[in-house]
Amino acid sequence: MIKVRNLQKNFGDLKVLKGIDYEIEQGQIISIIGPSGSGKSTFLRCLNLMEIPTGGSIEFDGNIIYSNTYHDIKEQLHRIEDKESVEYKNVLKLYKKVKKEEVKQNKILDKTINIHRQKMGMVFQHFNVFPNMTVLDNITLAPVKLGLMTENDAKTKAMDLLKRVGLEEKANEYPKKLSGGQKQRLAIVRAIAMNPQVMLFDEPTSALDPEMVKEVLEVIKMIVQTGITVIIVTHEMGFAKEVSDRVIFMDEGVICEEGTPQEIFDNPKNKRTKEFLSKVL
Amino acid sequence: MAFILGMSLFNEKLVKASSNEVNISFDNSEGGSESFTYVNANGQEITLNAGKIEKGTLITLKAEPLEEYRFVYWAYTTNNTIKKLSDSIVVNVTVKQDYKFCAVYAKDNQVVVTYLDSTEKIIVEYKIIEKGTDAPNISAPKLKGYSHKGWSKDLDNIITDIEVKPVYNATVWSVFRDYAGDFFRGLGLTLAFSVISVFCALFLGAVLCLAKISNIKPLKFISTAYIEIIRGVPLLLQLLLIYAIMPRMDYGRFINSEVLAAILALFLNSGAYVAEIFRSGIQAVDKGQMEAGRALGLSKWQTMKSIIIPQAIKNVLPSIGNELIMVIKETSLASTVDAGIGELMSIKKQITSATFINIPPFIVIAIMYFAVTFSLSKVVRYIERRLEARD
Repeated sequence: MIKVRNLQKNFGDLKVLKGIDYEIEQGQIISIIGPSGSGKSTFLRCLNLMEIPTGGSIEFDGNIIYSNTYHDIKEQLHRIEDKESVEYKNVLKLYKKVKKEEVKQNKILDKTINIHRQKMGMVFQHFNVFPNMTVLDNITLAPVKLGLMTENDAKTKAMDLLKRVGLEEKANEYPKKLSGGQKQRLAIVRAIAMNPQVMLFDEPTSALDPEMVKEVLEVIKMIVQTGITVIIVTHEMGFAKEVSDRVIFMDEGVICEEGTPQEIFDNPKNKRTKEFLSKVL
Repeated sequence: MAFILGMSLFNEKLVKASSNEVNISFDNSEGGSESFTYVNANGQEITLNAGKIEKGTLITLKAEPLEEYRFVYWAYTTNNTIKKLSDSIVVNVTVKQDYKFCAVYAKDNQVVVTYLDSTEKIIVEYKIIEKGTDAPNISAPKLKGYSHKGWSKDLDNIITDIEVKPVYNATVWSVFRDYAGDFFRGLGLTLAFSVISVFCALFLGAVLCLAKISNIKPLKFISTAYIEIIRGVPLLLQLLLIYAIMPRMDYGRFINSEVLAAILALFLNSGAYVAEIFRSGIQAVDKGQMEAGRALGLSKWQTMKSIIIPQAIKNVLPSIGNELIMVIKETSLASTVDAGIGELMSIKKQITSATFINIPPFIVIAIMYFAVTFSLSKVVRYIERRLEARD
């Protein structure tokens, strides 16, 4: 479903992702854990190109949505010490050509990415609900604007979803009147209303007061049970253990360890995984 | 309410007759000619340097048209025909540059005051004075919207040495009361020009702002350059420059080069400020909003239109109100363009030039400007609080 090859992301000189290879299958529930600054959010955001990677490739649903050899060639160029050699000149030539292609590719990407994003729902740490429209409009905006549903269908569907997360009474309120937990439930419904194939959760409970964490996790569990692919970056270890098919432990921009929840939580092999888990559990 | 008519000696042409001759001298400090041509009794044109004319000579003052504005003044003088100068009467023709002047001359033993009132009707008042007596004080009703047209034709003997002084004891209240209509008309125009300018500036500002935040480099450069230049150059300079460039036209009171130059300058200037207000309003919207929109598959522009801009508008409303307040104050600069455009500051200048009353009308318009801007800023603050309460 999602294939990630040698994914790299730099912010200036800072290397946040240092080559990630991973494959996610249809219907899998993946949890990504790790200390802050380990690149787990960046990895998630690269998957729907919220952040444009600087190297590697991403394949989604059979389409290559991002691919960049430019970065590899650049690395290769730096490795060659003899700047006068024929090899260097050839690589430099290739580098220039690829760089030009990258600009072209990014332009195409700009157009195709919106289509891919429609199939990938995303939920943010800070909810990012739209304060200028009602709860119902928050949900129906994208499906109607993008011509995926008629306004009436979108409304019916939105009301149905709101009922399932216990927010139907708030349908005509503005988000200002919602609590943090309610806002996050709204954000989840907003993403789900697009009928995505994949849901990406970026620390969905980190900005919530403790008493609201549960209601949001309940909603995520509900989504997990529908059988769509879910990737969730979280600090809720208990939750990750309970719902995940696979758990990824990331540190310093690489995947340190990956396995079933039992393997990772009960019997971690990597030293850093052990260290991290001993601190958070 | 009458007051003593004021006559400025701005541009002066002196024609003196004593016993059998008239002495003529010019004040050419404004660039006029040292000589003039007159037509004598035989219809002959005679050019004179400042000098003597025989008593009883019929002369017509003529002068060459100079620059455009001064032509009015000269043309005015050209129409002053001096006939049959009386014995020993010192003649002093006072010519004012602006139109609101009235004629004062002697007819037989009377002083005649002729002027045009606001309806352009010629009003004539007589006062009897003895020849050779001290200069009388002439009182006339308030002057309003004068024009120089036509009145000088019936000029007979021009009497001078009429001491003309403003003896009007003006207070802030009396000036306000006597000119209330003019002041409020000026205030109305000030508000109208401000609203028109700011309204147009909203569109210019929106375009400049979108250009500035776009990813298209040339657009970004042009709008940034425009904003920086406009903000870095005095508005007065922009106003005078635009007026200098603008072709002269006059299609009535509201469509003429002065008004258009003033509105254009205010609008072009305000547009740059509004663009910055819009930009900061858009940037004040949480970045997460754009991300959330894009994550749903909306394009950048769709997200802008449905999510960012509605929130930005709410952010900028108070600043736009403040910009309107700024522009209301800035309209006063338009009074420097020629005779002004009839807004509050120009009205003050007109009143002062007609009456020599300076400080009281200043106080009056200061109070009016303050009343308007202060109450507007209160309204803006109220809206600001309402918006805050809603979020």
